[in-house]
Amino acid sequence: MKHLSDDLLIESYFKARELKLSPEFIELIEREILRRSLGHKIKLSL
Amino acid sequence: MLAILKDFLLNLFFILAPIFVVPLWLEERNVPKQLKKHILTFSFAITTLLCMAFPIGTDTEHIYDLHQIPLWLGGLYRGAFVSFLLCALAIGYHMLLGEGGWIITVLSSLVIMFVSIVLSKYFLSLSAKQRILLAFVLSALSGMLTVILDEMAFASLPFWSSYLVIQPLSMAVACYLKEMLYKNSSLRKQIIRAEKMEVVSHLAASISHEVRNPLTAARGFMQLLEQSHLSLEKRKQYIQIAIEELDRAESIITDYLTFAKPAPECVEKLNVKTEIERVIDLLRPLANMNSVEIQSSLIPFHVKGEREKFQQCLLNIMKNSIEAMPNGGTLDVYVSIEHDQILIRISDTGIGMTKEQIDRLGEPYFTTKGTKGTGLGMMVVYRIVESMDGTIHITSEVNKGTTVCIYFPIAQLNRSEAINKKKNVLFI
Repeated sequence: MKHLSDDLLIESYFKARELKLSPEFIELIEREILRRSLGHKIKLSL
Repeated sequence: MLAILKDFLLNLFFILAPIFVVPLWLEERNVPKQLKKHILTFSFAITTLLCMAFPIGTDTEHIYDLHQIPLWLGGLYRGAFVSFLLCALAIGYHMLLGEGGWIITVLSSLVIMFVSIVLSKYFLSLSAKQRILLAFVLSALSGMLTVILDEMAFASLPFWSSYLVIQPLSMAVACYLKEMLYKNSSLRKQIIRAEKMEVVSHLAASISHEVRNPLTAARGFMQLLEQSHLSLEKRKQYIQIAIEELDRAESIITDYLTFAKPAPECVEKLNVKTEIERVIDLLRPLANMNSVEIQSSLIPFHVKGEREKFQQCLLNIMKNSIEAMPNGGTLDVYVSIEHDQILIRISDTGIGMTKEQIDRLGEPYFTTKGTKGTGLGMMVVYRIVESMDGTIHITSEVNKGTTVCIYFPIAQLNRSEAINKKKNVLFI
């Protein structure tokens, strides 16, 4: 997951929530977003 | 009578040395299998010669000794080649001596050789008890044959009758000891294997946890791929990520299985760096679970040993280190040369041990982990390090951490290996 671009990662996060994919998967993306210190991007749009 | 008894005991001692002392001595050492075989064959040969050089009784007309026992043992346990060698040795020695009665030695040795070559396979397929019994009967028969061939022996009845009793009895004792030793050493090997399986099952939990994440990710990205309006670029990225995640899962499982499955027992030159890296890969899931960070500074030195055992040894130490840090910490693995020996230093920042605990480390069934530990891990470590001619030093401070230092002799590369290495370096 490390090679995914930042934008696509954020997009994937919202898509995954929209499509109601498995919570484990959403959590994995969330963790990667936090690791890249992009947490504000998903918090802002919540 | 006492003189005869003394001679018998001396002969018996010669026989017990190669089946008792030599294998025990060999087991503790890091000797290649082929060389081990040669040493054992050589010790059988020496025994045969010693038995014949110190015969029983002072009667020069009829020379008796227990040389038939090593002949039987060598033939039955070790096969045709050893049997032939010992037989030739016995005949050669007697002929060289030039004393009378050599025809008896020739005949009895040849009979023993043929019978033991024919029976060898069948003999090894029997149970231990049956083997002892068969060896007893065979040596009694060969003793009888000798006495019958040596017609003169009928003159001194007490002498040959005692020979007929003592030879089979000595044979049974020798066989019994050999079987006991074999059982003991195979039991010891089983303990090491059982301990490894225990570690393997412990690791399974962390491994399965670690495998689940990439699988979840791969599955998730494939579901995202299902959307209709995705650009080609994004599709490509998703597919690439899914493949990467699957590869990661596969490599974790491969590492685990390579360690779990038994490897052939052969002593070879091992690259310390690659072996340690493998063990670290294997332990990373467990370290992640305990939020332990692994740092390493490795140099590719070579040591001599069995790959499986060496990995098991390193794994046990590092696993202990990780488990000593339930609240996270740092595991540091460092390799260097000290006093012409390879030093592997494994240190953690965990709970540490008291001096009493360090002193008892390596004792079977001693554990600091309560009911969770088997108390066999460090015992296995000590055994493996010893078998590789290494030494181990442990220092520890409670609540500060533990440092394990292992020293191994450096394995010199052969000339061809060294040249190959140089070539590789040049190419790089």
